Amino acid sequence: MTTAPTAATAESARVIEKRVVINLDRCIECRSCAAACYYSHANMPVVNFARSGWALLPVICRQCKAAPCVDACPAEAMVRDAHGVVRRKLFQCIGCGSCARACPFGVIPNEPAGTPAAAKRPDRMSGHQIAKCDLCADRTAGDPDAVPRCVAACPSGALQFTDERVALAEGLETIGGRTTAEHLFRRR
Amino acid sequence: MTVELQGGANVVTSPSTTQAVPRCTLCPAGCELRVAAAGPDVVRSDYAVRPAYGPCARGSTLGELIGHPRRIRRPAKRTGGRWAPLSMREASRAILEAAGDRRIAILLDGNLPIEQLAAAAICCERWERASLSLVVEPTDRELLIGLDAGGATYLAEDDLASCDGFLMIGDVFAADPRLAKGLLDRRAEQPRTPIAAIDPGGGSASKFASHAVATTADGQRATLAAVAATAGLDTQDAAGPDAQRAGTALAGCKRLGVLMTAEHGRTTEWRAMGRLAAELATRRGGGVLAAPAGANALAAVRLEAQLGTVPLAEVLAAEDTLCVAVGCDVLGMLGWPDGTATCFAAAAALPNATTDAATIVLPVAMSVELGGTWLLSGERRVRTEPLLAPPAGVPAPAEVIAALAAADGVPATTEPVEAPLPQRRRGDKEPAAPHPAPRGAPVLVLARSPVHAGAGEWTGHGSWQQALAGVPELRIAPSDARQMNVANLAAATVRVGERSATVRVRTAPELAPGTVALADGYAECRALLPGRVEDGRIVCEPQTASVSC
Repeated sequence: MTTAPTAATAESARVIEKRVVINLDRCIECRSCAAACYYSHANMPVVNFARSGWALLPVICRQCKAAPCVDACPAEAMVRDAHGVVRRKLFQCIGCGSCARACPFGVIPNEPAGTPAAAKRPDRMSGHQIAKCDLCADRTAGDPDAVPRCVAACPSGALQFTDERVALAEGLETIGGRTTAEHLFRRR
Repeated sequence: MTVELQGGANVVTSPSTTQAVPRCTLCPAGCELRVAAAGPDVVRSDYAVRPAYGPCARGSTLGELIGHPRRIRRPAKRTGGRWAPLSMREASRAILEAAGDRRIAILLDGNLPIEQLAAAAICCERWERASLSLVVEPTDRELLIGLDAGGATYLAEDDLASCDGFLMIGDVFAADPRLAKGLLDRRAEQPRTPIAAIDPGGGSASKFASHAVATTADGQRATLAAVAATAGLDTQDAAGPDAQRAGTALAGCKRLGVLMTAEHGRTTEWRAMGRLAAELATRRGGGVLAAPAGANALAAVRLEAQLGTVPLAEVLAAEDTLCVAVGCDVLGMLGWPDGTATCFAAAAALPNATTDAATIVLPVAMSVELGGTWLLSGERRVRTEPLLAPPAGVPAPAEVIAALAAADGVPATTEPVEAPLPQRRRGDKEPAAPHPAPRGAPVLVLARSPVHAGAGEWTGHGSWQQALAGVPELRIAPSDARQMNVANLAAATVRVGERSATVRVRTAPELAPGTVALADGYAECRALLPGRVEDGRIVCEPQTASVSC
């Protein structure tokens, strides 16, 4: 029996070229990455935080190869672009939250920054649309040396924007996902 | 990078500082700032396309604050609980009428370009009934006086990678996140680099320590002295096992970096700690990186003596004086929002605890809107450009003071003001060692916040900070939390005497039992541990607190 290919599997051939990775020995929990993301994306932050034992670590979208958020979106607002980045089409998103619930890593915020009352003010777009990390495509798409804003602002050098093979060779983690277990990332 | 001797101090000039650019003024790292239009009347912070290692979360807020909806743009007077708009001339006359025959004390934010401080000093010198006080955080002032007295060599963030050992006092990563890079670069290169930490508040920096030195809320100076004793300094303090181990680990250092931040509500002995740290670093061939609140704290502390200004403690102790705060939230900083003292008039960019208590409020430019000379970390004299011009009709701090003086008949000067070179302070006497009374548990201390600057008078208006958490976070050891029956992330009330604050609890395994730590970036938190004038300085001590859900 064969199954019809889903949108995610059909597009998974376009593999992400670069990812934001974190050096766990360098994150000082200053949240500069979250502030940079917030102010650069119309007050719709996509950098969230997970506490793991002693550490408070940033988590953002991993740009999955087979992205469940793309499958789950009823408005076809989530698409993978030519660079392999899963992006949300601004004017097609209806803010239903399906992608947030489908995300296995919980890195798509359903309610920005946990403040539904403030975020859902009628004069603001946030809360009516889902925020989604696009790796600052406005600057990284045309410049191979450009980095997303969260990486540019990181004062300790913990965040890097690099090829996944380079990250794995250096023992760096893709941020997001594996930050739920207690003491998983105990510092030296 | 070139190093030259100037005025007895090491002046480091790096190539990146030769071109004047807008810089963040919230800490001495002085990160470059950029803004971008986010709409016809809205600007937001923007970031370099390549890794720039800043600005941090506090600096990111500045772009938004310049055009903030709550920005004070014109003078106003409180009458019957409502604000009535005034002209600058009417406001000046009202202040002079309220002063009558009394002296007028100008409390000027010390975190301003040196040219602004010098211009204000010249104006107040000609204005006979006025005295000028440069306001910096009292704990920072004490620490920097102690460092100067100890002959400290000041390090910049870029110098840290060449250090071969580190001693961190307080949560230095929260005070100046940028210094983490140099330290962590060195550790990546030499994984066995010794990193000792003395922090009873259990901040994020202590998590990176190879040698965490256990200490109590009152015991920071004694612990530092015990570490210093292992370097041969005569401190007469017995070393505990942790301090002994840390001192032994640092003994092989040929270039020790001592990183310090003077947090509120920790100790009354910052001056002694500064001198000790300077001597220890010198003995180990290194230097000190102090991380005060405000980019120009060191210049303000040095210029206080050079420009003939009056220490804040002296102003607050004086009677029959009308206080005018210019650019600083002095009541919020001291934890005095409830009428312990008042400023009749307050000039501020955004509402704060001082403007809330004032009768007359004046507009004033923010420090990032003023170009000028700053003394950043490593004693770098750096010239900056304004990030943006202040809104129309909003004067610079020196112009506010000149307008008040002009209304009192003092003619304005037209000569341009040059930035004087801040000289190292010498000859400040060290206060007698205090004998703190025994306290019950838990003891409340304040801790630097990575997301708020000062008492949050500016950053508290940031939309990101408001979305992040409206209430301050209280760190508490898990065993203490169980004993007090408070749960992680629960809302709780902290009480010190009759004062209280609503907080959110976070259990922190890194914190020693018996101590609870509260972020200092909120005026309500500082009000729990208010400063007091003692022996010609302002001190702020830990206190016994109670925590309940």
